[in-house]
Amino acid sequence: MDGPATLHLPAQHSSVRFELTAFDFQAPENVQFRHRLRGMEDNWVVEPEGIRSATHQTLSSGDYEFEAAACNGDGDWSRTSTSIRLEVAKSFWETWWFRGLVLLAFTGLIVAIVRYVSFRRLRNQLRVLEQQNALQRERARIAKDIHDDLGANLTQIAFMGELANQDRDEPDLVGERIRKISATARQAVKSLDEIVWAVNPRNDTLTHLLDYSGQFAVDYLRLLGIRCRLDFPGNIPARELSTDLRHNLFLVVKESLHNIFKHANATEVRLRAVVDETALVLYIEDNGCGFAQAPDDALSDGLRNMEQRMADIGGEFKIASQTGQGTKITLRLPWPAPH
Amino acid sequence: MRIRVSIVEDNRGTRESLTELLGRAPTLRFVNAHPSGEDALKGIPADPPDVVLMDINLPKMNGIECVAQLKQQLPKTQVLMLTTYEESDLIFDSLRRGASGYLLKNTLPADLVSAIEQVHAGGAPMSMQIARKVVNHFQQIKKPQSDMEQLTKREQEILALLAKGFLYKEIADQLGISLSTVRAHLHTVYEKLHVQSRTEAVVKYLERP
Repeated sequence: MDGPATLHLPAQHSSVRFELTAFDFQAPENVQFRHRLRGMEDNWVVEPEGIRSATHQTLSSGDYEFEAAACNGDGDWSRTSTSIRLEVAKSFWETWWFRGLVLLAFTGLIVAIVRYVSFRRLRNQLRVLEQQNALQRERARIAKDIHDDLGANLTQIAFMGELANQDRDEPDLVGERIRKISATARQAVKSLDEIVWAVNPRNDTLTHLLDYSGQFAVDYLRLLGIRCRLDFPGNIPARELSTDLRHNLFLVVKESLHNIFKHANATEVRLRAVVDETALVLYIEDNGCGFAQAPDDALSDGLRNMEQRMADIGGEFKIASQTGQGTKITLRLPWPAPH
Repeated sequence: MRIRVSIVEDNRGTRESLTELLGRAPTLRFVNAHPSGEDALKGIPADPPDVVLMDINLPKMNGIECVAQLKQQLPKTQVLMLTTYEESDLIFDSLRRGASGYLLKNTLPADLVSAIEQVHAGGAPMSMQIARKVVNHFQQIKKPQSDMEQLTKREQEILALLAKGFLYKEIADQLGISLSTVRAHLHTVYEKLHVQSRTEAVVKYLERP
């Protein structure tokens, strides 16, 4: 070879073999070679006679210089050696830009993990706070119910008692007051019954809601001389309904029945429950006088309140009526998503 | 013959009011009042009444357990459970274990007396909710041990109508039977409930590991 040349080797190679040749016209079989690959090792490797190649296994990236010299049969090494430069390319993973990218990716991963962990923690905190909030609202609602219903009833009883005492010389008047006291006390117990039912977690099921509402409807309407027919499924699937959901739904049913008594002039009410995969649907139908549009403000307000109450629990309130054809109320409550 | 009535009630005020009420009713005779289940189990068998008014919520031994034990000793005595709230699960349990009906403590005195008279006469008061629970209960019995563990077709019909909100009178009209027949059928239903509950207790005992 004349002068150093440069051989470029790709990063992926298995081995490099140099074939060596030397001229010796006298005793070619006695020619011996020595070689070294500078950049790897500086020591000469002397090959035994007859071996005319040098093999190196996969070389790592970098610059090398392969030198070879020969000696003749007399043991004289050639004065000059031939060399060839080798440049072994870097595997891509050795390049600086690749490594930079990896570092960047790694840093990005760490950042992502940290953010995810803190996101999870925040979300859990949020959930706990939401639960506490729901509990507090529940407590506030119970306190309000007790205050409104019971507080009023008991105050009334105390008042009546005072008046009865003052009127104790007039037996008719006293009798009347005492009757009122009894009636008010009974009403108070009923209110308490409802609050206790709504609050007791044991009752947080669809079955309890339907049983309680049904019994209420039957008893309430019977007292008013209105026939009540229930159409509930025989087998009620097990569904969990929170205090909030079932109490609000019950209140809407209760108010619907109040309205029927106040406005509908009906002789029969049918309460039908349909349970499917997506929701509970309650139909309250009466055979009363119906209406074209809500005749007075109180009723419209009431209807709007019921609509809002249903919306608050994620449900729907629909009312359909025609003059002379009765009224049909549809309450739809989709099952809450499980958590 | 006045109907003999005993009371089991832990609240003193309620106990005294009930005692006075029973004292004033011409058809009833007050026998005794007990402040606890334990006391009742000692005192009642010694001087058996016709009807017992039993509070569902008693301290220590609860009303349901007391009914069960009392009925074992005095199967002919009718027990009416008294409850402040309409807690249907507890009420149904007590009916299963031996009670023949229940009353809210809130009930008007006249209605209370009338309920005692009816249950003594073999009547069987049953509300819509209870009817539903009864039907459900019998549907869930997997291996009926006897006829007493199954409802007859007529009994099922009556319960179904009750569950729909029909009154006894309306049921009688609808099925073309008399009112007393309806009551008799429901009385049998209660007895079946009682038997079934005792059988279940025995089976559970025998099947214990």
